[in-house]
Amino acid sequence: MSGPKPDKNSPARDPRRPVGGGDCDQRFRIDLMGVRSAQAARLRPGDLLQVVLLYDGDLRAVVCQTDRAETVGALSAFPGLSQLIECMEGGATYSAIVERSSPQACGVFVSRSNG
Amino acid sequence: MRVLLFSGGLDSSAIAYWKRPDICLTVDYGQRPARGEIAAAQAICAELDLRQETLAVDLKALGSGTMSGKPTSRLAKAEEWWPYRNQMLVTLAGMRFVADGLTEIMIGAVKTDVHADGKYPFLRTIDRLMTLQEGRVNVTAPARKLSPEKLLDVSGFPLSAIGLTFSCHVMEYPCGRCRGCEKHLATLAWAKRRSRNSDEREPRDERTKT
Repeated sequence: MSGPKPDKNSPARDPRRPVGGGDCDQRFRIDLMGVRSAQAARLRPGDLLQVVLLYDGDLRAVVCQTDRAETVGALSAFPGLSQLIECMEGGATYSAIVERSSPQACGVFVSRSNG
Repeated sequence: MRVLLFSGGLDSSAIAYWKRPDICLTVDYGQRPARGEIAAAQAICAELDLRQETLAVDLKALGSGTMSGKPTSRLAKAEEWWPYRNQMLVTLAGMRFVADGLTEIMIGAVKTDVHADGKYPFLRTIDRLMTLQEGRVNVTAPARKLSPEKLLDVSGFPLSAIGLTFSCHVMEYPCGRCRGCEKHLATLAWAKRRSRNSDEREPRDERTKT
């Protein structure tokens, strides 16, 4: 896993997509998948996580990370994933508020944090 | 000693919960999602109070398909096909544990498996092959007649632990789009529907009783 590509001017960004595009204003509630128990166990309701795009070559995964860049789990169990990735590559950023968390599961509310 | 080949996916997690093997063995054979599989396997076994062990044998050079990051073979029935994968995993598990009293290797094949090494002729033959050798180890596939959904049902695997499972074929974190993730999400959606339906039924049952 090569990790995040934070440079918004990278070739992956689609310059035609405005950062403030309405179709990127996604808000949804979701359970994380591939939950990392140690990180999830330390979270409390109300904690803020960053939604980060991770790259492995040309593959991408959307994960939630703590402010110490520890990955808690992935956003994968929803139909708007491709749209979310496209928006993130276009410059939209998202955060996730922890609604419930335990060593087995982590439920978050995701919303846009810019634009 | 009963050993389960354990990837941390939904199917093998359900079998682990159902059959309570002595050891859940996760093999890092050079597949791209290995780190995700190991993390999930450790978390699930901690949750289920089962012993987990990881065996690393780098066979990446011999892989093909999405799990290895190489082109899919024209022989493959699905993009993730890795030649002789179950045969390799059974052999490695046997090599690791036969001198320690191994009696049975369980694999997570289910009814919907498309690869030949998940189907009955292979499963019967590999069992016969292993029992012909020292240790007379049996190879079983407890869920081979079950769909993933039926396996979840039969095993009683707790829905609260599903978030720990991991089925991605291509990355350390679930990509949400490969065949492994798609199957995972379909089974998850079924489990959630079933859970909602049973929740909805409960109040009616309560009213009937009163």
